[in-house]
Amino acid sequence: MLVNKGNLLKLIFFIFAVLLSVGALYIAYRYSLLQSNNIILPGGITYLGPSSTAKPILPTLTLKPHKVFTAPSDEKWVTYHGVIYPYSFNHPQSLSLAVFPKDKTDSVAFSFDNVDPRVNILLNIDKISDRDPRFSGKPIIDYVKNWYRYFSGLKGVDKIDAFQNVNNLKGYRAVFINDINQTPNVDIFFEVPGNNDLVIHLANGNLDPSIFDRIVDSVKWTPKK
Amino acid sequence: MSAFSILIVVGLVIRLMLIGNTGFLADVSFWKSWGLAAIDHGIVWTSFNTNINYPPGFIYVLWIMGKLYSLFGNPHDFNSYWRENNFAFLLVSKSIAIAADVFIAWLIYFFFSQKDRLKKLGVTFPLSPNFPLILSAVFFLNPVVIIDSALWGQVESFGIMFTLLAILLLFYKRPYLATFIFITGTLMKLQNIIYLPIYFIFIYRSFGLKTLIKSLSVSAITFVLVCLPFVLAGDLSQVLFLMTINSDYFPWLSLNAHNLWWIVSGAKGLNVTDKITVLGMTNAKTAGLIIFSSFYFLSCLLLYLKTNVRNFFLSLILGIFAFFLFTTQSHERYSYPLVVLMLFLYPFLNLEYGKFATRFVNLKSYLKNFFGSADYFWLLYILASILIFFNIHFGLVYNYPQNGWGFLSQITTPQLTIVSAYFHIVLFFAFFVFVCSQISPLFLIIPFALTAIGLTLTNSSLLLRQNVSLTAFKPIIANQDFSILQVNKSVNSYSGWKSWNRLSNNYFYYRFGFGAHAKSNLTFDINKKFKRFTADIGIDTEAGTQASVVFQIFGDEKKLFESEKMGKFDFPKHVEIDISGVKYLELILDDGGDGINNDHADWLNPVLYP
Repeated sequence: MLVNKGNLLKLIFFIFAVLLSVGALYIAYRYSLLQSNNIILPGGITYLGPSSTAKPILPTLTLKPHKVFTAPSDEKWVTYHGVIYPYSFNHPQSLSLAVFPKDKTDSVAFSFDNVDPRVNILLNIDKISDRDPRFSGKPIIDYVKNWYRYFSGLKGVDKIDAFQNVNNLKGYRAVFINDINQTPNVDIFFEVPGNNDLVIHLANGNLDPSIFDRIVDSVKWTPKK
Repeated sequence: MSAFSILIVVGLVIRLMLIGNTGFLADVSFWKSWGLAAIDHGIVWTSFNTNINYPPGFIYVLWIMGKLYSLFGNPHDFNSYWRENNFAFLLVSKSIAIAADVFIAWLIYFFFSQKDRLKKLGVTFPLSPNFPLILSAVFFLNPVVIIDSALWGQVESFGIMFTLLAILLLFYKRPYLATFIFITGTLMKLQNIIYLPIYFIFIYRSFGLKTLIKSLSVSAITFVLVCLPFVLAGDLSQVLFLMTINSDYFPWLSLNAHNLWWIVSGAKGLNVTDKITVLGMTNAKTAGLIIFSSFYFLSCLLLYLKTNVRNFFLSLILGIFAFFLFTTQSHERYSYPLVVLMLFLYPFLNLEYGKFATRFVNLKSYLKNFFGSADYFWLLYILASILIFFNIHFGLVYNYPQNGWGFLSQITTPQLTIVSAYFHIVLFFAFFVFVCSQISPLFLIIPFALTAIGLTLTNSSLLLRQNVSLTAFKPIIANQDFSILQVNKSVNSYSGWKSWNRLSNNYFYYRFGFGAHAKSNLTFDINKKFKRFTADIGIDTEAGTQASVVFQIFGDEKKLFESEKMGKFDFPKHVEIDISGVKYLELILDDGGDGINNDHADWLNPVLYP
């Protein structure tokens, strides 16, 4: 006999063990596919990969057109729920969302066109007393009118319109003027029912306007009873 | 093929099946970031350019994770690498701890198969042939071990592996190699530092002073070797930074650890600062350190007075358990080493283990001998496993409810977590049965006496009705719009020792006080123990000419004082106010309505009068 009985048993056991391990790994892999596939970035200032090595682009007076995220009209929309705050909104399934663990503002970003999600925040909760206590307890519109002052790239207000979405949230649609006198972005500020220290803020980023409008319309605030 | 091989395969298959669970997302995403930085830019760069709060040795492990991941995928592919269900990264990161689980299981099996050596080390009761296998199985199939490595994805077993290996090498008379491994382990997982005094006491008592001194030299050499990249880069101070960064990193009563402070906080350990005053003028953090040190002293004393293998393991258990139970800022996973160390302790206890069927024939005699029996030990072991598993599972589902076990999550209530904390404390004192059989029960008075002395000393000013500088208190809130609060230094001192400046106003110098910056809020829990508060207030000499602030003092949210707007050239103003019955004293700096530029303002010589 080329192989004695003891060795044969060891060989069978080894093959059996390998097969079991591979099977277990496959089960684990299938299970991982069932788990949420959000992009999760670590909180705070840390490393996410090398910076682009492209030569810096000198500032110009016009903004380069950027790619815009859009989705087919028949695409399935799913609901995202805030981790800390009881907000929710609907978004196209193909819009890849990113959240930040332990983020006090409970913000949601989206990952698209290789833009770092940290500069692509779709929604966050602004706590007025943290940002600027001067506006605590004052009408939210005062806060919205002055919001641009917290950002060095903005210098004024173009227009602010009050509106109400289908879920009866009262909001303000604001367009701010940037340092090169352009108005590329739309910012939405929703009042939070029963809490005038919080504001739900959304920014359109590089979302197709119709997609962004539909997201804005779907925003809900449903505190636990 | 042996029964041990079957055990390893079974345990491994269970773990592999759990790898797909995304575990503790924050830990995993931080490891991705730091591992990527390590492979892109090296160890030292990672420590400077990321928010890593692990000891320097662990960056090697993260580097390995990054390199291993590179075999399966591209870590620079943003959209796949950062997905929470990135299976390849889950596999790589959890493999480190799973490999450590396997190694410890083997270590238990190997060590407890050495009958002659065990006899020499003090095991007198006959060990059955299956004993090493049973002990190894109890560890390897323990749900605590499985949840930590395969579900959560943490590396407790990786850390304790170094300590265990070092300890066993001491039993094989290899103290220098043991010390090399022990110190390496401490630089990989900082919690190992808790064992350090006990470890060196054992070396001193077992091998003598000469070996102790040589071992300490080996420690220094190991430290330099592990930190060699930092030494070569001339940045050894960064090592110190990494070793100390976790002090006050999460300044809360309990980081989900079911311990004394979990009870004090009413199951809200993560929401209550550990700077609250709990006794007289002692804050929770200081009180916790005093209680921990007192019990740690007893564990050192036990080993020093009766040095043997049994007491070595018992001291390590008491030391780590006291650390988990009594210090604030304790994590839920800090009690994990118990489930390993208890298994190493067990054979050296030489406990009676009669036949199961005859146990209850003579109930009176059984109960009389219960505390010296193996049944008592295994009761403690099962209780420890249940409590630690429940606590670790709680920590996981508190943050990521979707990643725990549904049934257990459903029955976990705040009340149950407090019950768990009480049981942890009962378990701790249950170990003293094993202490009392070694040293006089009178020694048990020592930790209580030390705690009483420590708490009395920290309250001595109050007891003697003496004035107390407010700088003796740590603020429970310390916010300011520029820099960070400086105690007994001006605010510009924040940038490092080369910029340290004494507190002063127009070149009037002060020894004590707070260097702050508008807008700021300093709140102190003075616990209604004082009647009067005095201080000088003013702009610090280092401030620019545009500085202007308004000083305000609140007691329990009621305004007690407001200064006029003070500028750079105003001399210090003296404040004296009544604070009888005040629990929370708030010192506020407002910017005077003209922005915060140059507003470096000081609370000078702030004194509380009882």
